[in-house]
Amino acid sequence: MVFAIAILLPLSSIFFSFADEPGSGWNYIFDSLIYDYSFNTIVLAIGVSVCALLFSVLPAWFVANYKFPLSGVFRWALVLPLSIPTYIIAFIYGDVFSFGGEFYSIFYSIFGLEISTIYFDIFKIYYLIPILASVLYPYVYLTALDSFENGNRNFIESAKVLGKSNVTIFKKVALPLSRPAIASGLFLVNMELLNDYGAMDYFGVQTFTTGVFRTWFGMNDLPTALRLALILFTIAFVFIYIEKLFRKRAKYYEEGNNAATPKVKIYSAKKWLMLTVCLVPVLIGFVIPIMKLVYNAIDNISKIDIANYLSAVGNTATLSIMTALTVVVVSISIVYSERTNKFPFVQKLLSLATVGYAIPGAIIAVSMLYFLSGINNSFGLFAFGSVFVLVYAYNIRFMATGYSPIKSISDKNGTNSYESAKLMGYSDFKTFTKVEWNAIKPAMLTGLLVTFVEVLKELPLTLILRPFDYDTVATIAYQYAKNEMVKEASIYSLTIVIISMLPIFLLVKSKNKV
Amino acid sequence: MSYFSVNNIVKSFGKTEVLHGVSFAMESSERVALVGKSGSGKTTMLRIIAGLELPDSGEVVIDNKKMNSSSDYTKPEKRNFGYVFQNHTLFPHLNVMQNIVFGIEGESSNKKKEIATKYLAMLGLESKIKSYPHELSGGEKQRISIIRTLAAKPKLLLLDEPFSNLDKSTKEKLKIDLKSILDKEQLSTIMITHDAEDSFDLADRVILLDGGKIAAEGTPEELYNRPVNEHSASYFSESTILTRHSNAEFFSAINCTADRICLTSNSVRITNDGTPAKITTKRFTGSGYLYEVECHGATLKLFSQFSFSDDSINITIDSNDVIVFE
Repeated sequence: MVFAIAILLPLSSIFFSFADEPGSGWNYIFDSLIYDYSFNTIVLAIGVSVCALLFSVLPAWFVANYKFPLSGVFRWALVLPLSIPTYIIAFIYGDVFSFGGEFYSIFYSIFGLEISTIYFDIFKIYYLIPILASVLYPYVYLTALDSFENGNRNFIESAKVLGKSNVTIFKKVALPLSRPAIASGLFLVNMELLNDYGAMDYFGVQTFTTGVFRTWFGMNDLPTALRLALILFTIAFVFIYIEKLFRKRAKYYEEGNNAATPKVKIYSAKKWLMLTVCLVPVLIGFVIPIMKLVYNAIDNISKIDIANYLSAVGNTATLSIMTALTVVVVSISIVYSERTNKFPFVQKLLSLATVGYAIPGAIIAVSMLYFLSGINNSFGLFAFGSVFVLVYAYNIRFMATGYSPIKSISDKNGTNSYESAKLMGYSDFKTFTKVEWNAIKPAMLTGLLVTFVEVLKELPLTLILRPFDYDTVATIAYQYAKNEMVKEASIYSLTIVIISMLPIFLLVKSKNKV
Repeated sequence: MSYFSVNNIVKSFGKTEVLHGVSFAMESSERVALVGKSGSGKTTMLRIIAGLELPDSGEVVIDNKKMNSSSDYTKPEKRNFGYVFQNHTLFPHLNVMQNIVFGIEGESSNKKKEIATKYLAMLGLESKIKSYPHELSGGEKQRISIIRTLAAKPKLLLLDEPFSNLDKSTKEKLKIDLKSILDKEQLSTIMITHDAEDSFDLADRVILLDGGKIAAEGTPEELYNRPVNEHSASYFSESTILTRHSNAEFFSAINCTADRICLTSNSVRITNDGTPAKITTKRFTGSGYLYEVECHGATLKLFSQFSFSDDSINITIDSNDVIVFE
């Protein structure tokens, strides 16, 4: 419970900030930029959601139901773009489509077209939409695939024996039944979108997150940053509420479903269409960016400042390991407190402790600043910009990544072993070490790995709260790219992408096991 | 020529052969039950008939049209067979009316609604027309599921354990409803169930599957009163199987020259002047009592409507009721 309060206190402090006088920049932001922030946020949310749906739903349906060339490969390859953070994909495509970039070089060499005749400015919100969707769609793909593979078999067979064609079954049965799953995938897409700072800043798209940065770094106006964060917080909670509504309906949709759908082998030309539909998102979201990153990294390998690189890797590893360990330890204590403590208020408090996953990093960062400045004013305890503060903030943001696998395995195992051990006179601690430790070990490792990678990729929170002159792999990649040194950023980006692939392999392995 | 037949169906999953050349036929409007324990192959058989699984070899034929020959496979959606799944499979995003009209083809929207309403009225479910599946009880869901299948006017109705998830009273009501509706529609029906009683209640003919083969086949009365082998005896009735080797005294007492016999619980009767026997166990079955008695060293089962407090009784066995197994 102490951990839960420690996580919730900084977040709740953001509400108290509303009682403070607005900062000097508030009127300017309110009069001139709020409209842009709102408009861009809405356009991005709708645009990226639509593109993510286009990239994910049909491929998930094909992979779940049919055997066609490379369908087994696409099953996991479609998840790979998840390893590329949004800011890195933005740097890559910004460079590929820059004047003199690969896109125009290829057009010139193949069609002989002069760059000036076909050039367009990629740095527009409308172009950013498919770029972001190309790495965010796997959230929808995974939830849709799960629903298509495991949730619908009986209903699909039922519709088949009622004489319906595959197209009708997809439109009238599978898609409506998978709507809650798809909605929860879209929710994650939008949460990532609200969290993003690097891609928006690189493309010059003004959103509430970039607004928080602008007011804090540019205007040094914490009260205004806090107000913007509060608006962002409200938007995030609207998404959470919508997701919850869908989840409520999903409860009914799960009735009577069980075994996986047997796959139908496709012999006709349709198999090539299916292959193409699956190939496009993998190409855009993974193959092309990886080729570009590897090419840039090799091209630039001699210019790498090894000392700088190793120092950034060291800092990143320190932060990631500290956070992963604390997140897992706190998660275990939350899971077991939920089990042992039956008071509804405490249960609610504990369940809120993982809410940080849905809150953009910028909000957590400014609420930490506000909370710690309050404590500092009163007690003079904390130094801003310390590694401790950063790890504290990461714990708020990523508690769910450690909590979810442990909670899930604990729920699956049930309380029988725990209750039997208690009835035999074991203490809570002894029950945990003797009875449950082995069962939750794999979940702990998953929690450690996923949290490690999330911290490695994290950008906005790190940029605001990091100690002075303290760089991580992500912050250096961002700074190089921001300074038009995309090639120099590549080795750092590639490091992030390669390590980020680890939990994806873990996920694919566990899904294959199922 | 039969209306429907399956001929020599073989099916394996990996190295496990689930069906070993099963064949049977049925006439139009006939109701057949495939009965067997878990793993006997009955669900696989039903799924092959529906086209949801492909057999390794063998044919499914209806109205002289082959559905599952090696060269000609008719997809499930083209067969026009109705399939009622064990766990109802009503589409959760559609209400009762939408679920029922889902499978009706080639009718106007009004006609579809008229058909649905007719069936709902038949089963007294008109008030549930706008309800969603999660608002219905288990029995209601299964009845709507049956209506949805019937409304599509199938050539053959396939019922997959339709009563397995229901409590006793709901199950009895559904059986009565289903029987009346099938009598009215005169629809050829294949039902699979593990419950012998359910098959007796609904089917004209019962086929017992065991280890992927047909172990016995006949009317409910034949299978109950004259089991053809040990397996059907133990599945359909409370019977005693006796061998000469272990019960020599009993065999000579009844002047039986066979090596292996079966006595159903109805063929052993309590009389005043029969052979003395001793009651060893007594179990109340609802409609009477099932006893185990010892007689000439053999343990026999017998059924009586009456309860006896005395351990000693006299029994008679009519030689016509002794079933000899080869």
